[in-house]
Amino acid sequence: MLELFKVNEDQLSSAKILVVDDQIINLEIVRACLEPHYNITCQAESGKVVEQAVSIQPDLILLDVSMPEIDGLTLCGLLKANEATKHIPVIFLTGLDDSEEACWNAGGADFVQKPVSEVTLFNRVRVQLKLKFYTDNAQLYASIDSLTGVYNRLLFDTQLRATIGHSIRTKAAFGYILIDLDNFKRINDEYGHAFGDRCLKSVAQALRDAAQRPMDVVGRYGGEEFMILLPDTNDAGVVRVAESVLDKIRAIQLKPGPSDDAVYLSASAGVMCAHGTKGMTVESIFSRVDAAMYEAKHNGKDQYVVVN
Amino acid sequence: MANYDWDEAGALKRINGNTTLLKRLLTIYQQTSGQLLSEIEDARLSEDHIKLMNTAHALKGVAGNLSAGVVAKNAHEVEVLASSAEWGVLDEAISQLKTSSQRLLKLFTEYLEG
Repeated sequence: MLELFKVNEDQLSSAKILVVDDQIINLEIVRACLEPHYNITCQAESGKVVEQAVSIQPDLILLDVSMPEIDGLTLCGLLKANEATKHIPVIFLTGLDDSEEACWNAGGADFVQKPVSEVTLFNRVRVQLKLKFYTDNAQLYASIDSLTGVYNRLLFDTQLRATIGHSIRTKAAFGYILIDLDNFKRINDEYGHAFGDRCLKSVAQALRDAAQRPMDVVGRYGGEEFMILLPDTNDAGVVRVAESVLDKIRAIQLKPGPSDDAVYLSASAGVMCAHGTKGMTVESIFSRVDAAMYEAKHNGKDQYVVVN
Repeated sequence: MANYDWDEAGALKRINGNTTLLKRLLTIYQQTSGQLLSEIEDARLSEDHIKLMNTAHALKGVAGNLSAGVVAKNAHEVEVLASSAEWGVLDEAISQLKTSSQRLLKLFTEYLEG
């Protein structure tokens, strides 16, 4: 399992590092040490750091301790108090002889003494980035359905809550599609669970193919139930994706064995286009779209029903 | 012969041997160190211990990163003494800092023109 979380070189070389120091020379020296390996952004004005960190979401922040506008220790506290930046590790760059304890107490992950040694800086940065990416990978894997690779219910619901909030703020509509594979119990009973798993993987891929925008989210609710979240999508867009989903599932042809005939799949779906409102919850949306999906089943399967 | 005012090789090593960048950094130092020294003198005159300490600290950091060991050491002494009220000792340290800074600027000018 731990191997799954392993940090690879591609991840490391894509790391974004924000370097903060009020002295340009210090910034340029740190940039020269690290830029051959990582993506570096420099900031000389400490008052702009929190906003910038929220915006660019660096993987690591290097922070000078002594700065005129906001000192590094205070700034680290502000970053750790902000929901959007609290997870970003901070390495202090310090020339102060007696600031070690203060650096740890402020929430620093490590510190590097100035004048910087390029070898020490490189290695301490690398250690913190590895830890950060390892944690990121662990969280990602904890959020992914291990069989199909789509979001699990926990992460999907988190995304749905965020989308409801976004819709309340922007008045933009969003779509929610609940998909249930038809006759899946019979498939499992007839051809075995290994074949059933192949079917679920193919369906998950069909859903990913149908919901292709970067902000679209595909999840597995459990068993043979999947869902799709379509932020910033109107009625027509949601219906178009639902039709595409059912078409792509109908196109799946899987053979249980080399000499067997192909098994064709179909699914039933509940489809909803909504605007976020105060009081709207994941549960309230799910119950409506779940009822629509069961109506599609009741009407003969292999179809979708739109929530009124 | 080792130059205690400036370790050119050490400075270059820190920036992966990039002489173009080194020249740019030395030029920035030429343009900005005078301001820091002026601020140190102003802080001394106004007896602003905190500003004196912070400005000396900033100069120490920059000089240290450029491997300018003597200026970094003298700035460190000013930084440490800034919290004391022994003005005579502090004035001597500031005087030494100004002298080593002048020597350093001369070295940087020679390097940039060489």
